[in-house]
Amino acid sequence: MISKEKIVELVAVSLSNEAGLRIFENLNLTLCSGETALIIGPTGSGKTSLMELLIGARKPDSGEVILFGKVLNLKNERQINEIRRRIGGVGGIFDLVPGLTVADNLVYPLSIRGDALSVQRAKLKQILTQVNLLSKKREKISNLTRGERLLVMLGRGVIADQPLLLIDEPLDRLESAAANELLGILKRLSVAGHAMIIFTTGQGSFDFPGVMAFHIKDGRLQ
Amino acid sequence: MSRLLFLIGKAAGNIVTRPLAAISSFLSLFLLFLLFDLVWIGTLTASHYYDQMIANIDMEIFIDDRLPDSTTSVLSAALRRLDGVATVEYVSRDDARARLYNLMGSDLLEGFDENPLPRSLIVTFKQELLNSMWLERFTNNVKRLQGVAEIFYARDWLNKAQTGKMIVGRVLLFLGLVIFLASGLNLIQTVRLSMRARWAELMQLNLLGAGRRFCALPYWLEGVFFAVVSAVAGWCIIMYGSLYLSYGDIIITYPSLIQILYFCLGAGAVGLLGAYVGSRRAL
Repeated sequence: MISKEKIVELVAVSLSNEAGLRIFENLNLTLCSGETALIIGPTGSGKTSLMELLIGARKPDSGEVILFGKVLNLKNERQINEIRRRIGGVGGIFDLVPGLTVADNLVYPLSIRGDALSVQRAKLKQILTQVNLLSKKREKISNLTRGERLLVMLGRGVIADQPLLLIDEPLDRLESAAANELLGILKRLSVAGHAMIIFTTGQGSFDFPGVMAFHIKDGRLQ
Repeated sequence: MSRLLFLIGKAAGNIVTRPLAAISSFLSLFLLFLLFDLVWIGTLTASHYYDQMIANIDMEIFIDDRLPDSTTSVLSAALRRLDGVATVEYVSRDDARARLYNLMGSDLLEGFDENPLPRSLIVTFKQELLNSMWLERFTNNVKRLQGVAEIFYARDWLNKAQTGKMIVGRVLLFLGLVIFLASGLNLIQTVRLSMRARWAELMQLNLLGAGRRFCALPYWLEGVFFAVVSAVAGWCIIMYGSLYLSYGDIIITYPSLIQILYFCLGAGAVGLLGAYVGSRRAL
């Protein structure tokens, strides 16, 4: 169980695009461990921009992005990398490396962190079991279905005990069986204390405890 | 340790998954280093022959006729005290006549009442000091000694040999710089293209919190590997060839094993530098 702590804080964040058009105006959000924020908005409403703000890929025009109690400073590469190591990403800008196997993709966060090989093997087995992909361990990513890829990304997002998960359109183009399996895993992760931000175009069926739904409208979360 | 293993595995993966690119990088570096090796061997061989020839250089100092025989030993001793002198041999008029006889096969001075040949001192030198500039300075010093009439040594020949050696040395230096520059540029481009080919993977690594150095390290290892393997392969080919090839009377001089080792390390350093610059440009 991950202890309750403030994971994400957006304080009066404003952001414009390259053309100077305002994407967000005075955006505020607080998310603690075990909580899930559902960010709902149509295509082009700024969901990807928000994701980029949260991983330090974009700098807000004003306001502060605070992750794990630290104000993001884009000039501090070391800080950004440390924060990114604590974030698991699924979909959107996060993707898998198609030429590599499921196992290779899954252990990336552990290799980056410098975990011992024995720890990596144990964690890999545990996560593969959790996402029901043990039999696909040596399978190339390019041979997996979309649902399986999402599960691998989800596994990669929690393998290093990342406290925060950013998930973009998890149910998009998924068959109902795969969608149910994914929702079941997300529910378990939420109960286990992971903070999650799910970006989606529709409300969907994220009806597990601790979900807060926000609609992006006119650059604000409502 | 596991991180290092991961990075080594990545570097090996980079090479194995793009065999054609790896082979072309290896071959171009191999040819460049082989060219350098050949120029180096050529210079060493030329230098060896120059040293061998210069070792035979001696100087003949003719003694003034007015100097009595009894004082030639003083001049001889004065010469022996000078820096760089190995031996001093006194050649009397009779010795000179005998040498001329041996040289020509008959006594050319038979009709002369008196032996007209001058007395001389033949000086040989310690090899480590021998060069035309030093000999020029030595000649000036000897001229100041009392009883010296004239000094003779193969000045023109020595100057030419020395100029030849200098030109060969400069050509090697120039070619060496060009070859190492070309190797570096080759590696910069190889690493840059290799990183471009794996851009999606690098992006994901970056999103997962891998720093630039972590992303670039496999490519640095790749650069060092290519450079060192190419350099070693070049020397292996040369050494293998030397077992079967001979050039008549010419004795080929090869660098020592330690020099070859330093060369391979230098190639590795060029590989690292090229890969570092390549990765900086790509990231």
